[in-house]
This record gives sequence, C-alpha cells and structure tokens, in this order.
Amino acid sequence: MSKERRVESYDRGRIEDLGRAKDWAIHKPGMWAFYLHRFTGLVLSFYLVMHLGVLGTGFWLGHEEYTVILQGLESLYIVRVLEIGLFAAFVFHALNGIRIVMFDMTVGLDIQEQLFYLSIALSFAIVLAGVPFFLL
Amino acid sequence: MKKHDVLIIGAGGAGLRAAVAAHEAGADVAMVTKLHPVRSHTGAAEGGINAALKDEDDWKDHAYDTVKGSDYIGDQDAIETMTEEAPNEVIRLENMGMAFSRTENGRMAQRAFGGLSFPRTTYASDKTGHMLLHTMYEQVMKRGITVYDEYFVTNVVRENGKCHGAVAVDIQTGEVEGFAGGATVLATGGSGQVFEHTTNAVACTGDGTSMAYRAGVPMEDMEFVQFHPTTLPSTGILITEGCRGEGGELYNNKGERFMYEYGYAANDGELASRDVVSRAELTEVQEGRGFEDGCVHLDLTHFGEEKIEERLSQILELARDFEDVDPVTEPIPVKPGQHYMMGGVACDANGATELDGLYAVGETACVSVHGANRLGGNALLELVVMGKLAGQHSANNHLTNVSTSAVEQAVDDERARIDELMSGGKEHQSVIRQDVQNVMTEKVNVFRAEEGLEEALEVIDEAKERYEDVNVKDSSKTFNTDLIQALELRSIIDCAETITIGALKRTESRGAHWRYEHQDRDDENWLKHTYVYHTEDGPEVKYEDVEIKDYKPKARSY
Amino acid sequence: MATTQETQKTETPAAAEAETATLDVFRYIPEEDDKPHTETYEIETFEGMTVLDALIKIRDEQDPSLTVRHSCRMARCGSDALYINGTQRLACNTQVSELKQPIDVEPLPRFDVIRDLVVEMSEFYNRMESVEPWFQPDHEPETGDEYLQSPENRKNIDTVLDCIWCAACTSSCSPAASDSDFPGPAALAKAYRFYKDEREGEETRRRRLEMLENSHGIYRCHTQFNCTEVCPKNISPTEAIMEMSRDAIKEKLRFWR
Ligand SMILES: Cc1cc2nc3c(=O)[nH]c(=O)nc-3n(C[C@H](O)[C@H](O)[C@H](O)COP(=O)(O)OP(=O)(O)OC[C@H]3O[C@@H](n4cnc5c(N)ncnc54)[C@H](O)[C@@H]3O)c2cc1C
Ligand code: HEM
Ligand code: FES
Repeated sequence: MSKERRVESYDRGRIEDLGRAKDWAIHKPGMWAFYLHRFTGLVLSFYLVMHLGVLGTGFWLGHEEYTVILQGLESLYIVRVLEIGLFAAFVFHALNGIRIVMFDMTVGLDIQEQLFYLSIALSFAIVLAGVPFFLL
Repeated sequence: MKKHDVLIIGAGGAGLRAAVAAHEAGADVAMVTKLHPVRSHTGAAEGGINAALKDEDDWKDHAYDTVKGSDYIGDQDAIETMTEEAPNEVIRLENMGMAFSRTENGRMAQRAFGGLSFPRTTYASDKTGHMLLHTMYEQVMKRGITVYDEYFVTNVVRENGKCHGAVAVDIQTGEVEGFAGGATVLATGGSGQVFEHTTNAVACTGDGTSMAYRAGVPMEDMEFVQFHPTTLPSTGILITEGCRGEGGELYNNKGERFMYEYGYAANDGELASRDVVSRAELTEVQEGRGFEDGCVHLDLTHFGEEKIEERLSQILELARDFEDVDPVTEPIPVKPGQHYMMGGVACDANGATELDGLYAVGETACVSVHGANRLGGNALLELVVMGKLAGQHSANNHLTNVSTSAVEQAVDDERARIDELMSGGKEHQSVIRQDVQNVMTEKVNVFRAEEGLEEALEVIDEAKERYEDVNVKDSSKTFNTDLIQALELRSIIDCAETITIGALKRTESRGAHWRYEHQDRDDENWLKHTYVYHTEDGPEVKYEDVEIKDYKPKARSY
Repeated sequence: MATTQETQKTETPAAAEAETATLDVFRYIPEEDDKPHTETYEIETFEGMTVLDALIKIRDEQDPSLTVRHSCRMARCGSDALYINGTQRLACNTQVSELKQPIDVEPLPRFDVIRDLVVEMSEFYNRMESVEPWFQPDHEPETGDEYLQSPENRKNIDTVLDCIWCAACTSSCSPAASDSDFPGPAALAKAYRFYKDEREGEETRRRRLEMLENSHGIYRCHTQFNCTEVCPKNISPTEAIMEMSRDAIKEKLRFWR
C-alpha cells in the first residue's frame, strides 16, 4: 500500500543542495568523472554547432571567403590554445566514454576509480604529445 | 477514528506473520507500529530458526529438547504444537522467498545450536532475522495490508470485559488517535531496555506487555530473563551462538576451556544451554579467572578467514566496527547481557488472553513455550508458528461488537494524560529511566540474592512515585521523542517491577532464574507459573501448576 | 591454542585525558523555526564513541529536544542514515575519532525535513514498493516442499540481501533526485535481489527485466557510483543496475529470436 505524507515538512530544495555542492571536497571520484564527462560532452556539442557554422560559410559566402575566415582564425593564438582545450575535452570524453561503455558491459565496475584516474592520465599524455601539432 | 477487523500492534516478525495469516483468513487487517516494519528488532536475530526438517530428525526430539531447555516449566502442549508445525512454517518461509543458506544439493542448510540434540537450526548466513523480517514485510506489501507506521500505541481499550481497540499517538503529528478493532493483537517485542546492558534495541521497552497488564491481563513468568553469554562488553551487541555452533571456543584468562575443565557442562561444553554458559562465565570472572571488564574470550581464530567470512560475516563486521577486534586473528572479549524475555502477556497457544478480543504473540507474549529458558533458534520459530495461529484465530473477530464510544472515551483520557505529562514536572524522564536500568542490571542479573532484589524493588517503587511528576522538556508536537520516551518509561517500570517481584518470590533456581539462597530446582513446590496482576494497590501475585504430560522432569545436564 | 589468550592488553584508561568533540548539528523545529539553523555542541568523548552516541549524549545532557531516529545501535535497523561531514553514513557505526572536527551533522540531503535530523521517508518507501519486491515464482517447488537453489546462486545475492533500507544511497543519487519515477539505487538493488534469484524462474526474470527496462528505470543510471560509495553494507547498486541493463540490451540485440 503506497504511503502518504502526514505532516508538512521543510523542502530544502535545489538551492540548498547546490549550496552544499560548493564544498568541492565532498564529491567522490565517480562524481568527478560524471561532471567532467558531462562538461566535456557539452563543450563538444557546442563546438559541433560552431564547427558547422564555420563550414557553412563556404556554402553561403563561397570558398574564397571561407578560406579567408579560416586563415584569419588560425592566425589567432587564442584559437590555437582553445583548440588544445577542444582536443583535451575530446580525448578525455572519448577515453572516459570507453570507461562508461565498459561499465555497461559490467567490466571494471570494482576498479571504477582507478579507471577514472587512468583516463585522466592518458588524456594528459595524449594532449601533451599533441601540443606541438597545434602550436606549430 | 480508524476501524479494522484486526489490529496488529507491532510489526516485527510476529506481527507481520499474524497480519498475513489474518488477511488470508479474510479479515480487514491493519498494523500499527512505532517503527517502520523493517526497523523492528527481529532484524537483529542472527543465528537461525529451528525445525526438524530432515528425515533423520524428529519433531518429538525437538519438543523434548525444548521442554528440557525450559527446565520443565514450559507448557508441553504448546511446545508440541510449535515443534510439530515448525517444518511446515519454515518451508512456508522458504516458499515466500526467504533466502536461507544452502547445502551443496541446493537444500536449506542447518547447523548445530546450543541445547539441541540434532543440528536443526535453519539459517540464512548470520542474518536470519533480517531475512525473515524482510521476507515477511514483502508479503505484507504484496497483500496491500494497511500499515500505520510511526504510531506509538499507549493503551488498549477495555470495556465490559472486552477489548475494543487501541489508542495511539501519531509520532509525526503528536495527535492522539483511536483505533477500533474487532481483535487487537499485541506483537510489540521484548523489553530489554529494562536493563542497561542488553542486546535489545532502544525500542524494546515492553510496551505491549505493560498495556495488557494495565488492561487487567496478567504478566506470566516475568522473572525468567535470558542473559546471552556472548555479547560485546562496550555496547551489548550480540555475538551469535552460531559462533559456538560452528566450533568457537571459550577461554578464561588461564587459557583453559573452562566449560569442560571446571565441569560446567562436561558433555556439551560451549554448546550447553545459555543460562548454564552465562553463569559459568560469571563464575569464572568472580573467581578471578576473567579478563578486564568482566569478560571471557571467544576464540574463532582456528576457523580461518574464509570460513568466518562465509558463515559469520556479520560477526566480522560487528567485532571490527564496534569492539575494534579482528576475529580472524584474535579472540573476541564477551560477557553475558540481557537478551530475551521468556515471560510476557499470559495467553494460550492461539494467542488469546483472558480479555476477550485481546491477543498477544511473539516475544511480548508468554504462551510458555520457552519456560524458564529459551533455546536459541526457538524465538523466531515462535514468531512464525504462533504468529500464524494468532492471526488465524483473531480473524474470527469482526468489527460488529465493537464500541466506538469506548475508544473515543479512551482517546480523551489519553489526551488528558499526555497534556498532563507535557505540563512539566520535577525530574526528567531520562534520569528515572537510568536509575531503573542500573539497579536492574546490578541486582536482578544472572545471580540474584534476596537482599539485592529487595533493594531493587525499593528503587522501582520510588521510580513509580517519581514518574507521577515526570518532566518532558520538549514542547513540540512534531516527532517529540522526549515524550515518547516518557511514555515508554511507564512500560519499563511495569516490566521491571513484575520481573523483580517474580524473582523475589520464586525461592528456587530454575533455568535462567538463579537465587543465591536457593540454588537448587524445587520441583515439589515450584513447578508453577507466576502470574502478576495489576491492581490499584500494586501488583498481585498468583500461581498455577504446570501441566506435566509426556515429558517428566529430570535433572538437566549438558 | 592457549597462546592467543595471553595477548590481552592491559592499558589503564586513567592515562587518557577526557577529550572533547564539537558537533555542528542541523536543527529545525517546525513550530519554532521558519528556517533551519546550525547549533554547535561540545561534548566529552569516550573511547569507541559513535556519532549516534554523541547525539544521544547531547540529547540526554544538553538539549532534550534534539531529535534523531534510531533503534538498534548495531547498523541493522537502518533508521539513522545521516549526512555526516559531507557523506551519507549511519550515525551508529561511524566513530567520532575518525572524523574531522567540527563534525557537521545534517539530515539526508534531497529528503524533506520533518524535524531536526528526521526526514520524510514516504516517497522512499513508495519507490521501494514500486519494483514489486516480493517473491514471484513461476512454478511449484521442485521437491514438493522447498525450492532448490544452488549455493553459488545464493552467494551471488548475499550482499544485496543485506540492504537495510537506510536510504543513504537514494539520498546520494542525483538522477533519483531529478526523476521521481526512477526507483533509485536501493529499490533497483532490491529488484536485482529477486532478478538474480534462480528460484523465481525464467518467466518472472524476463518480466522483471521488462518492467525496469526504460528511461525511468535502469537506463537512468549515469554510473556516478555515489550509491556504491556510501552504502554502509558494502552493496554496489551500480553493479546491480549495470548487470540488469547489460542483460536487457543483450536480449534486445538478439532480434532474430
Ligand atoms: C540480537 C538478537 C539476536 C537474536 N537471535 C535470535 C536467533 O538467532 N534465533 C531466534 O530464534 N531468536 C533470536 N532472537 C530473539 C528474536 O529475534 C526476538 O525474540 C524476536 O525477533 C522478537 O520479535 P517480535 O516480532 O516479537 O518483536 P520485534 O521484532 O521487536 O518487533 C516489535 C514491534 O513492535 C512495535 N512496537 C513496540 N512497541 C510499540 C508501541 N508502543 N506501539 C506501537 N508499536 C510498537 C515495534 O515498532 C516493532 O515493529 C534474537 C534477539 C536479539 C535481540
Ligand atoms: C565528438 C563528439 C561528442 C559529443 C558532442 C558528445 C557529447 C556527449 C554528451 C552531451 C553526453 C551527455 C553526458 C551525460 O549524460 O552526462 C555524452 C555522453 C556520453 N558520451 Fe559523448 N560525445 C561525443 C563523443 C563521444 C565519443 C567519441 C564517445 C566514446 C567513445 C562518447 C561516449 C559517451 C558516453 C558513453 C556517454 C554517456 C555518459 C553517461 O551516461 O553519463 N562520446 N556525450
Ligand atoms: S540505529 Fe539502527 S542502523 Fe543505526
């Protein structure tokens, strides 16, 4: 038989829950992995839209304009640095994505923490190795 | 006011089983409980549940073991009913999905337990009570039985020689509510909180026993209080008898297995009946062969990690978390602690009490299947067998003859009493409670002497007076645990008083009851049940002879 | 055998000076307060003191209005899951000495507060009930009386069977907070307890899977592992959920059947 409330109670609500989340130390590794994965996923989605927008200039404005825009963007140092960020986001998202797919196959559930650290470490290594390609 | 054919007060193993049985018999059933059902203390039972399941075993042997364990004061008819029904009921539990441990061929596993002539304790690792409680609650959910949880029942309603229901405080809102019922079944569990060192939960305060007592139903055999030989010294948490069943050994500080070496139980050693082992431990300690804090050692180190992990995993956790010892490498310090009330509301094998429409079942009741001493694994059995019988029987009562005005009157009275309690007083309830608990632990313990018992009775008498002017400091209506504790205190005092009076009057030693001045069993004068009645001028004691049938009293040795 | 008996330490407790602990406790009494506030208490500790002991000591000695659900004191009844120093734990099996001070004690997050540390549990119980947590065998017992179960199968569900409904996991789970139709980790672990029990039979197993296999069911899990981290009984609901979703996907992939 389903239960019903008998008293009015105090709803601490989202705000108080978020307030608590300010203390970063309370989050556990699995939660960090989730936050990072979602954040990088959103970054990638955002990039995808921008990317399509830039590609679209070739379609709307013609290929000369497109080349000018791309060369202009690539000459900006900040864009290069952002590209490293994008690459990092992609690498982490992909590696951690593999971690999550493994869980779906019930592999590695008891070493989830270590797998998270592994995907971080590998991401670092790959991004470092990739830096010269972006800055040169 | 809420109305149901059958009201079950308390939702431990006994209450839940009774609810299912009454529902199956076609009654409209509701449960009223101060804790949510899964929080009940049945969940703490570790060891197992007895039943003569195997072909090589015979329920008559089980009955004999139980009678012998009861020190011949258990009712032999009721014991036969219980042990004969045991296999059916345990199989019923299995069929309801209870996850018993299994043997290699996929059958329910059984192990040895103290006082049993055959390894017939069916178990679910060392969490048998937990599995039983959850399985039974699952069945209650399945049937859609109404559960009013977090309602504290304070009184049963008596008028014209009949019980009409109960009065409860809604713990969440603080409102007093009436429950009219054709039958009222008390299943409120034990009253371990009468003692300071106990394996029982904070909620085990003997409320049901006290309610029936105040409604004129006698308390039976309250002097028989079981002290478990292996509890952790700091908290009273139980270390299951299963440890000894699996081969755990008890040592004194000289490294002797004293159960054998000092002849307390030359045959069964550690697996003798609980009262025997508890007294042996205290004797060792008193004679200077104990460890610090009045303990002896329970050694499991020869099992190896794997066996402990598999069969006694909870013990591993409890010993590590609560006592900071690792049973794999070191012995566990243990000492006796209050564990179980053999006595309770006097009732027959159907749970029916003297009062028409009032039933009792489980630890709160005294059908007297445990007599002077309960065997491990028989309490859970009592819950399901007697729970079923009481449920079926109570379902014969319907709402038709119930007087709702009597319930309303009782609600008004209770409201007045609670207002009175809340209106302030001299002493805080926790102070009185502690005084009672302490004197009970010191004087009405495993060893009882006349002087100590009289002293205890004085303290209890005083406590009764002090209770008249008790103080509840919390004035809120919402979830007022201060008030609930004050209400519980009355039950604690009632139980303490009847235990002590029974113990003082019984001038013999039998089962769990041991008197310094009268160290022998006295079958000539004391093959009797004690009944204590509540009267205006204090408790009144009566006796009734025990019916001896097939099993004649013999000296009890293990 | 006798050698193990000599290892008893005989430290005298007199050497240990009375130590104290500070607790910041969440307080809210509906009749008195509009909003919750934090009350600070200082108490003397003793060896082996748990957070529950500390709260009871405060209640008995300083403030009888402090309210916390508790009963068994042995991590069995599941009444006293609280939010202690930023994690859901049982007050009764958490040692004061192991915590950073001041100890922050709050009721379970994401549950409405009835009073002080007591939260509204009815939604939690309804979630538990939503997975039909009762035994539903699809056949009669093999032996005529009892169902057979291999010890291996029994062992598989040993940990999930230990769930005490304390709601620590459900409180820690963010998908459970944002989707009231999602049963949450405790209920799904309970479902898994039946799903894995071979006594129920193939037909029931399939039905249970179908019941849970949707976006408000097992697929809601984001493998954050919070539930697994906080469980006082070392159950891994994440593992249970993932195993069921793996089985569900596998079954869907065999479309030719
Ligand atoms: C640690 C321990 C281990 C044990 N091990 C074993 C074992 O291995 N084998 C065995 O056979 N026995 C064992 N026992 C004994 C057995 O577990 C108990 O006797 C039995 O569980 C009692 O069940 P019950 O249903 O009568 O009461 P409980 O399970 O205690 O339930 C009492 C119910 O009554 C309700 N209640 C109480 N007062 C009120 C009130 N005023 N108003 C409303 N509701 C109320 C409570 O909420 C609760 O639901 C053990 C006991 C303990 C303490
Ligand atoms: C390149 C473009 C990509 C984009 C834009 C993208 C975006 C996203 C987003 C927004 C999410 C939701 C996160 C969440 O549920 O919390 C997500 C989840 C996920 N992504 Fe990606 N992703 C991309 C590439 C990848 C790759 C390459 C992989 C794996 C190899 C991957 C694996 C996953 C997985 C497994 C999830 C589920 C996570 C969960 O359940 O929480 N993604 N992705
Ligand atoms: S008091 Fe029962 S679980 Fe903590």
